[in-house]
Amino acid sequence: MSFLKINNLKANINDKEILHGLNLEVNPGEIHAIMGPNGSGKSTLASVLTGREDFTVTDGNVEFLGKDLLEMPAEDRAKEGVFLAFQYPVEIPGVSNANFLKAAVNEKRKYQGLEPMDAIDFLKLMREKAKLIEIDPSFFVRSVNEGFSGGEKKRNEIFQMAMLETKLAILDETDSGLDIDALRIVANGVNQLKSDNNAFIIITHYQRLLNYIVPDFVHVLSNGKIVKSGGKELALELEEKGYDWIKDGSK
Amino acid sequence: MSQEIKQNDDELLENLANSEYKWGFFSDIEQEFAPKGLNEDVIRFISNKKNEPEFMLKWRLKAFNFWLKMKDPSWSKVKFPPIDYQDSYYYAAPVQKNNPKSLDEVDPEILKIYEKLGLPLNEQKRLQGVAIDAVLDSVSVGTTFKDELAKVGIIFCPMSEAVQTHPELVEKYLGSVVPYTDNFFATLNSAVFSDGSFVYIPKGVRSPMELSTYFRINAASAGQFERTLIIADEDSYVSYLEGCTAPQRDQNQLHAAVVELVAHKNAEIKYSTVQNWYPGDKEGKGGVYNFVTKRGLCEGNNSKISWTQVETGSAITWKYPSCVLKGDNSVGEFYSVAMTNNFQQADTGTKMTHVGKNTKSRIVSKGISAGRSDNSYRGLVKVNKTADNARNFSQCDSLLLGDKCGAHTFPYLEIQNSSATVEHEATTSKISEDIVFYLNQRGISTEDAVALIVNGYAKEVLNQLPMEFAVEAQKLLSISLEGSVG
Amino acid sequence: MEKVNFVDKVRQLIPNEESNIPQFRLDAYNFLKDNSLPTLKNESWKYINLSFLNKYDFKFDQQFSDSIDCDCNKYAINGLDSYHIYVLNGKIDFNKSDMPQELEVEEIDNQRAFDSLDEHRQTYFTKLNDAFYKNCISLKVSKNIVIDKPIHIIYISDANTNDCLINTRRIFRFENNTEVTIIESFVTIGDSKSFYNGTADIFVGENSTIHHIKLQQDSNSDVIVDFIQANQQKYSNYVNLTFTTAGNFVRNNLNSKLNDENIEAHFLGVFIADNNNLVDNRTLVDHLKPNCFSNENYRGILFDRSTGIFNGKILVHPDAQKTNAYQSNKNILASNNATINTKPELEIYADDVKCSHGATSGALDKNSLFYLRARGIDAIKAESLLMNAFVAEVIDELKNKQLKNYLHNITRHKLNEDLKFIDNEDLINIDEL
Repeated sequence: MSFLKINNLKANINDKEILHGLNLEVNPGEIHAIMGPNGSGKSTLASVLTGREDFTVTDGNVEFLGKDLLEMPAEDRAKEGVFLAFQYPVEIPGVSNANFLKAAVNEKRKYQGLEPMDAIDFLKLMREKAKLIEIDPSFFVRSVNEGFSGGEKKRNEIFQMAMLETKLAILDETDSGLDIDALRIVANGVNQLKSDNNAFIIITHYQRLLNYIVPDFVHVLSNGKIVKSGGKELALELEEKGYDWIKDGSK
Repeated sequence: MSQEIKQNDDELLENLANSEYKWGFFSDIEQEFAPKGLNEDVIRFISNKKNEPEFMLKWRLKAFNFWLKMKDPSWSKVKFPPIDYQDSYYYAAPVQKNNPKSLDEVDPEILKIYEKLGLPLNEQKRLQGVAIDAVLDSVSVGTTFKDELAKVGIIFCPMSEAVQTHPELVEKYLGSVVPYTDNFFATLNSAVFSDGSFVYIPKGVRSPMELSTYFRINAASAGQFERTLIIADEDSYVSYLEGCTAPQRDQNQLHAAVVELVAHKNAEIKYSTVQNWYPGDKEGKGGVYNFVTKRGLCEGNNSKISWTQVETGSAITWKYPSCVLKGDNSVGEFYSVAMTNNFQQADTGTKMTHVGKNTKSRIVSKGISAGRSDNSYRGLVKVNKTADNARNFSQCDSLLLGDKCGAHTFPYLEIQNSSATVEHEATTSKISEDIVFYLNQRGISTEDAVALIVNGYAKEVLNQLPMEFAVEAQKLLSISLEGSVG
Repeated sequence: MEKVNFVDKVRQLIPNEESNIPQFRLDAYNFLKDNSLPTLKNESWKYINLSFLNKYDFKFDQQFSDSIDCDCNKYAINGLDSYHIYVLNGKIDFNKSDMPQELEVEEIDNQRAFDSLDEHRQTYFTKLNDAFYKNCISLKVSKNIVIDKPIHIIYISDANTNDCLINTRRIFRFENNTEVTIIESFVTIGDSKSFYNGTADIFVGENSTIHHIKLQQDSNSDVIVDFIQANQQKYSNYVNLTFTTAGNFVRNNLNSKLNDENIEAHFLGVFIADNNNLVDNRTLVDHLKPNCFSNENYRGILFDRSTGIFNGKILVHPDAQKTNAYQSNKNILASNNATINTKPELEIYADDVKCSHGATSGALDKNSLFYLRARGIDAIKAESLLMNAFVAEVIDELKNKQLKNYLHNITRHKLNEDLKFIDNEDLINIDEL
């Protein structure tokens, strides 16, 4: 049984095909970086894997822990352990982080056939994880992302990742717009959460983040396909030469 | 506010009230009139004068009989003494020796009027890139660039001519957007309208130039009732401009026009107005009553109608250029700047009716009130049950210059579809003293500072106008403003 | 028994030529003789068809007894430490009530409404109230008094045997430097139809802070028409929350006159409607003097075939320079058969002001819904969360924590009922974190 296997994935939005047959296999304990120029389909891949309905899958399949991922609604994919750290986390006024996460955690527990957590246990868990991710408990009472700085929003994403016992985490340009301190905190969180049982797909435009989170594989996405794969040194090469040589090479 | 600035402002306000209407001249040309008053005979007279086909006379009489049963509208915020509809001429036309075949044969006295207005019609001097239909009182006196337009199949001619040459189009579309039963003034217009412009853009044609009508009321105590009909067939595009002025008179003059637009599949109509009717003097005497019905129908899928208006004139303006978004994915836009001063009253806005799926509308209204004027935005956004995913955004701002004027916002939002997104925002404020002071400190006079700020405030709308008109409109705003700050 | 239409029934009940009838009642009789129910053509009744009133066979105030045999206590709010006043068919039950000592309570036979000639008072239902109410409930708090707990007034109409129409008049006087929270609930017992037609005059003295919460959440109540006129003096603060989750037809008028400088008015509103119900909120903030502040925040969620109407007007008179007035009305249409008609109005005659209003209508934000679902929260639960949050933003403008809690809870129950969603999740009270 594969952990994650993407097979010939094709997807479009408003009748425009973005992914043109993408293949990728991810095993537990691995960190995969997906790099590529703007418009290459990086964020589309994240959206399709997590079930955003704006996109239509026209071909291919995605197997996750023996299940057909694409058959599931967005919330069930999350409950299976797929986590998307959004590029632009939404602000949800009026919903506190605490109650939002409690709902998410207990929905998942229900899915797993477990009893819901009560408020006391939940708060304990939240404090524990907050410490790990270096988040101030004052986050709990604030509305989800409302009035958060860019860095705070991204940290909140990592905090949620910790709370939800993620198996497959997809970080969609989590590094963009972060200063070096925020970047370090986010990377530190990811490194803390990394284990032999989970895997990360890190979508990024820059090599910078990969100094802090060391990938096992680097893939270059261009025009909706993976055109080149390699080890962590590929990222450095891309940083140096840009993407053009790969695009040209793929022709 | 510092004492000095305050004093400065008072002076400026004074100046403002004294600023003059520069289009107020009257031209003494020979004119012929229908008998004063309104009855079936006058309507027959007009129809006969125009040598109209039978269907037109029938339609006019139906409208007239319907009108007799109607009451003056009283619901808008404008106030005016009752109009005596029997004390007005419903037809006034310059007497022309013989029927002019081309502009060269038009009475030179008439051509002079347009020259004086800065719109020379003859071939040597006329504006390039803009075809103009010049309407004087009840009739069109000439149209420029007619032949050039005919080459690509565009029909651009006076309404009275269209009735003769393209009766099938007139019969099909006249009243199809604004039926003769629509409202008091539209019904009156249907009965007595004498001329106006007719435009037909055939399938797949993009009009190579701007089309324009210039309306001028010259005769005393004559109403002007023109009717404009623009049809954009599939995949076509046209940009149309309308300008207007009137002589300075103590009496009020009535202008009750109707404009109908039809946009078929993938067609786009852009309709711009710079309205500068005589607003009355600083005591509020005289001026034009501008009661106009303008409506566009986005009939086909992916069609678009965009209204842009700069309203600086008229004693009273009562006008709501509207869009019926029937075709799926159709788009309606309304951009408006309404400036009122002295005793002017403006009640203007728009109606966006969403019928088709994925229809979009956008409303940007900027009101500027000075003197003792009243300026109201009144608008309706209606989303029918059928209009899935309809979107509307409205922004209605008011700027107050002086403490004796009023600014009002009356938006109606009626939503019956749960997938629709409708947003309305409005603000009312005055010109910030801080900004004026900042500009003063940089050596800019208060008067110029206000003009600068108002033009900035109106920019989003002015940007929608074709270049020539934008410059004109900007000048007009500055003149109407001259130095007003509160 | 043959049914008589509403207007005729009212006319039949007008007493003939009695002596000692005060002028305001005679004026009301004449008004009711000369006028019929307002129609769609009347701008302030646009969208509303009142002909349904003809279907009922109402008995009026005079025909009811002053006591109802009911277990009133059940209408008290659980978990809220407050005083209680029970008003049965328009009359106070002093035995059942527990009131603060500082509160002066009276019942007055013929109390003319303040400003009875005001143009906003010349409506069919205010005149109906003028003509038929039995006792005016008069509450007074003398100067410099702070009432320590909210006063909860519960109006109970008896529809056990007949369709009932109760006209209630209230006058609340809060003298200078007072601080009081009033909560009003409207409930009906019995299975016949009920029509509650109320008016209230509220005087907010100098430097006083009054919280006024109106709860319309009794699903057994059918028709509520209520008219509130507040009059505020300088440095006063009047906060009104109108909270509607039930009633077939609810019409609330809320006007406040800001009669002096440095006054604050906060108009808050929540309406959640379902079935064929209609909720109509009409407000007027009347800025008469400079340097005042008003803030209005109304939110509605409409299910099924319900209709919501909001009409809010900010009126700034020429003298009222330096006015800051804000208004917001946001709505969620939760069904394709529901309708919202909203008309936020600004009518402004002073130049040095900052006024703004905004209105929106739409479905829940798709991105927010997806975000929640991507965290494993089911679509229906996500909707419930977002709708609760939408309403919470209004409720959270209040200060009393117990009251806020209570309102959050009834919102949650109401929304879950309309969403047909069973939610076992207990919420963390973030106020206690």
